[in-house]
Amino acid sequence: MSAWLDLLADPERLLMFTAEVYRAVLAGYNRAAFVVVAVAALSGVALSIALLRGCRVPAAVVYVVLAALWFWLGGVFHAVHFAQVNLAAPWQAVGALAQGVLLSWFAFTRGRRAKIGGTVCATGGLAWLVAALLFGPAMALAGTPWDAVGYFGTAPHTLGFATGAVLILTQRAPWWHALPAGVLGIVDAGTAAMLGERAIAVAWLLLALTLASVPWCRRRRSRLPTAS
Amino acid sequence: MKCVTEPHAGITRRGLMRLAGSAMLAGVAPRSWARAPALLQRTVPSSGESIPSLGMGTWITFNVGNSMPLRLQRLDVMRAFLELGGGMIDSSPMYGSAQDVIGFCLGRLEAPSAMLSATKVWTRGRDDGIAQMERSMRRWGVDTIDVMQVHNLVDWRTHLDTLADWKAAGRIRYVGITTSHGMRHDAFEDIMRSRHLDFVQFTYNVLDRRAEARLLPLAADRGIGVIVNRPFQGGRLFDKLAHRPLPDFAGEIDCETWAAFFLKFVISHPAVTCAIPATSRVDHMGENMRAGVGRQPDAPLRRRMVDYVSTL
Repeated sequence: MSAWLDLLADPERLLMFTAEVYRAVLAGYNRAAFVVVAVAALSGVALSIALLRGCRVPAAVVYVVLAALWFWLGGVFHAVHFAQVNLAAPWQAVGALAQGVLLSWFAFTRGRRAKIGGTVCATGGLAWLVAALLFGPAMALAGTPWDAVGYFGTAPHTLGFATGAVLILTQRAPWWHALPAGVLGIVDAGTAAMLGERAIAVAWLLLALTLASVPWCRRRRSRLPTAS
Repeated sequence: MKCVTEPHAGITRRGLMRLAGSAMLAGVAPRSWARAPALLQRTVPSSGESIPSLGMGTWITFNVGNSMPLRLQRLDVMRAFLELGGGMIDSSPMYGSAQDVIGFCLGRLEAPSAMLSATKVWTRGRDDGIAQMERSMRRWGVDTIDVMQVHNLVDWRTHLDTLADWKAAGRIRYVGITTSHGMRHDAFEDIMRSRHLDFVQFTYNVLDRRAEARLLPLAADRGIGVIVNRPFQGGRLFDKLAHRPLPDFAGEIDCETWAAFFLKFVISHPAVTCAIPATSRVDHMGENMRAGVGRQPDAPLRRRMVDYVSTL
C-alpha cells in the first residue's frame, strides 16, 4: 500500500516523457498522417456546416466516420507513434479500438434510425464540435508549433471532444457506448495536466460538465408545459 | 562492452578507445578530451575495477522516440558526458525508447573505455527475461552489457539465477538489483544479505537519506558497489534550493553550483560507487561533471551540508 501511495504522491513517476517529447511525437504523427488529418478536418467542417444550416444528418454516417477515426487513433497514433515513448500506449490503443467497435455497433443498429441535430442540446453540441475543430489551430496561435498540435478527430483530445459533441447532438444518445472514450479522456486529461498542457485538461473538464448537464437539461425540458 | 555495430568491422568500441588513448599520449587526441580534468574514480568492490564516480541516467531524458532533432540533442549530451570522463550509462526497458536512443548515440560516438553499459531486466519469467535482455543488447547495439540489474526487484529470484549464468558465460560482467524512491528497502536488504551481488542501485541524496540507516552500511560490509539514482530527488532539490545562496563552506569543496553541491554529497559517501544524474541539457551535464573534480567533503563537512539544507 505504501508503494502505491508513494507512486501517487509523486506524479513524476507516472509520466515517462516530457511535453517537448509529446509534441515531437505529435509532430512526427501529423507529418506522416497529414492526408488523414486533412480528411478528418474536412469531415468535421462538413458536419458543422450541415448542422448550422439546420440539416438533420443520419447518425449512422457520422458514427461510421467517428468509428473509423477511433480505429485510426488506436491503430496508428497510439500503437505506432505514441508507443515509442509511452509503455501504456498499447493499452490506450486497445481502448480506442474498443471505442471504434462500439460506435460501429451503434451505427449499424439503433443508429440507422437516429438523427444528429435538432435536439434540445443542439447548440451545446454544435459548440463542442466547432471547439474540436478550432482547438488545434487555437493552440498553434497561442504559441505551440503548428505541426505539434492535435487536429480535429486525429488526436486523443480532439477526437474525444468531437465524440462528446456528437453524443450531445444525437437523439437517444448511446451514452454507455462512449465508456472507453470516457476512460481515455480521463487518462488524457491527467496526462495533459501533468505535462502542463492546461488548455487540454480544462477542455476535458468542461466537456465532462457539459455531458453531465445533458440529462438534466432533458429532464427540465420534459417538465415544461406544452402550448395548448 | 563489445559493440556489434561498429563503424569499422572487427574493431570494438573498447578497442577503438585504446587506439584513441594511444593517440592522446601522442598528442593528437581531441582537445576537449585532453583538457577534461580527471574525474574522481571509485573501485568496484567485487572486482577492484576503477570506474568514474559519475554516470548518467536516462529515465525520461532519453525517451525521445524517433524525433531526430531531439535525438541529436541527446547525442550532444552523451558526447559531453563521455568527453568529460563520465562512466556508467544506465537505462532500462521501462524507459520507453531510451535504449534505442542510447544505441543511436553510441553508434555515432567513440565511447571511452571507461564507459560502462548498465541496463535492467523488467519482466516476469525466465524466458521473457532472457528475451528482454537480448532485445536490450540489440537496442544498445552491443553484444555484452557491463551491468545487468533486476529492475525494482521484479521476479528477482528467477532473474538472479539467469544473471549468474550469464555472468559465468561472460555475457555480462556485473549483477545488480535496483529500487528507487526508498521503496521496499526491507526486501532489498534481505536480498543483499542472501545473494551474491556486484551492485545495488537505490535512491540517495541530501534530502532523502533513508539509505544511510541500513543499505549503505550493509553494501560496504558485503562488498557491494552502490549506484545512486535520483541524486537531485527528481529535480526537487533544485526547486527547493536553487534560488538560495550556496553556503560559505561550498568553496572548501570547490563547489560553484548547487548541482555540484548535491552530487558531491552523494559521491563522497564512502560506500557509494557512482551516481547517475539524468539531464537533457549539455550545460547541465557540464555542471554535473564538475562535481567529480576538486576536493570532496569529508564526514564533518557532509554533516554541515545536511544541516545547511535542513535549515532552508
